[in-house]
Amino acid sequence: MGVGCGLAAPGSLRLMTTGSILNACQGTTFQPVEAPMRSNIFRKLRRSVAMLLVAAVAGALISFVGPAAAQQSMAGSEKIWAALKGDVLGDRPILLDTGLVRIEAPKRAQDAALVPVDIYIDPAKAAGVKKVTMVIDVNPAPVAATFQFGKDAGVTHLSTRVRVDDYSYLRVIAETDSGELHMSQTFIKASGGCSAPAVKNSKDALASMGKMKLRQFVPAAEETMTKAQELQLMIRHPNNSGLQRDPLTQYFIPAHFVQNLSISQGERLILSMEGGISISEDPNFRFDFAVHGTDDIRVEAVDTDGKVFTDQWPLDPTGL
Amino acid sequence: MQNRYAALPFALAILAFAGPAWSGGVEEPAGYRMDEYRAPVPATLQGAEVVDTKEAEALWREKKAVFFDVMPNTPKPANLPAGTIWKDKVREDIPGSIWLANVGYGAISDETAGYFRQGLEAHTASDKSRPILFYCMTNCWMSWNAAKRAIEWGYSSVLWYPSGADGWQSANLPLEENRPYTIGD
Repeated sequence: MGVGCGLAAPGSLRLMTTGSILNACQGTTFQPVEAPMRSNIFRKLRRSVAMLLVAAVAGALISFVGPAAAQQSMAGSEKIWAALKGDVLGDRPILLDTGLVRIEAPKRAQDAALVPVDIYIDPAKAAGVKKVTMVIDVNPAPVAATFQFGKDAGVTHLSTRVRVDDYSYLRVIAETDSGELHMSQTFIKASGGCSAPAVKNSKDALASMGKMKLRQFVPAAEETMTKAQELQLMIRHPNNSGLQRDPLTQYFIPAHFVQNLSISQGERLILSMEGGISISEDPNFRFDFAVHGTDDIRVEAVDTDGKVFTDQWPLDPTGL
Repeated sequence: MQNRYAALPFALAILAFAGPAWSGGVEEPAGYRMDEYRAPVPATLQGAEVVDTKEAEALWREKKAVFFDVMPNTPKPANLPAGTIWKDKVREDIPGSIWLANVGYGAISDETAGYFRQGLEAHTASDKSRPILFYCMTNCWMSWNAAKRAIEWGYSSVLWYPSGADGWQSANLPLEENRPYTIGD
């Protein structure tokens, strides 16, 4: 091994785990002479310093490579967005980070096909927000979803799960009654979310397709002034992106996803969604809303094959 | 002498932790890599010559090998709702490369295999001894699989460039926007 032991090339560092090269290093660089005058402690100290040096070099390499790649991807994502935003929003100015809307997602996806995203709308201004668009720059169909809110729906928090194809910004753009656009963005490290195979096999997925479940989170009586009622809607649907490959035939599985969704209380719309390929398998939405009266919660979903799924549930008493 | 190795477990722990960042320890599988394509790759490919950026650059400058980019590409699904904004991924690769998309999956359909064979034949004048080089990205098994497939099909001078387009770019070598090869090009 021709390189200095303490500053071994990345390729050879791994080999050191075998122990033999490490020993060789100790015999040469770390321990050039057995100096009888030097105390044991001093030798130990020297060795520790050398070890730390190895660790520091390894650490520096990792942390150096990581951010560099991420920065390159950030610039790439911005470039895509610059070319895309006109198609999505027209030629209107976009206000960034005004606090009216905020997006949260993990910095690194554990599962790129199931990335949790939270959208928050400033409660003081929620009444003036009629539409929220979610964009994932690098996804081939970058507009993940568009949400419209009913009048006085009072939605201030909405969470769902999305597919992310590569390192990308996730953006959420809120449109106000007056036509202003407010954007919030967060960068995520993820890869392969759009083409990741389905979790469920296609037979099971088709058998349960369209089944819905609603969970209602009712704040305790003493919290009703500060906490809104929340709903979580789960829809069984493969939500195929069209980019997933059939593991048997190796052909692409056609796109098949929930295209339109509306959630109402009685006749009052809470929110509706126009979805795309980026909403994860078994779409799941959790959101708060302002209860109006005692009408049922009603859901209608239409998928890209034109299949219509409906369900409804009585409203849980609010504790008032 | 006991003290001498006192720090050893500590060092090994660090190295074992740091290890996966490099590709030194990945074994060549017997068959194709079937999933998790973006992951550390082996240092070798039986039957192929592995080249680094410097060697790849020399081959490229002297035009001594045909360069095949095997980065996957997802065609636009036929049945998206009208009005869906669709952006084909912009692929920048080594100038002069032929981009054979999706030929590096572990299993490929007959159609894709036909496309791959045709693409190779068209750019080697059906000469299986012509040097051909495969790449995609760093830590991408697609090029490993594609090169292996070409070897199995009887190509005798297969080169594999594991650093791929990003390794090429980080050596300040040029990239150029490319489109997937279509039969008849």
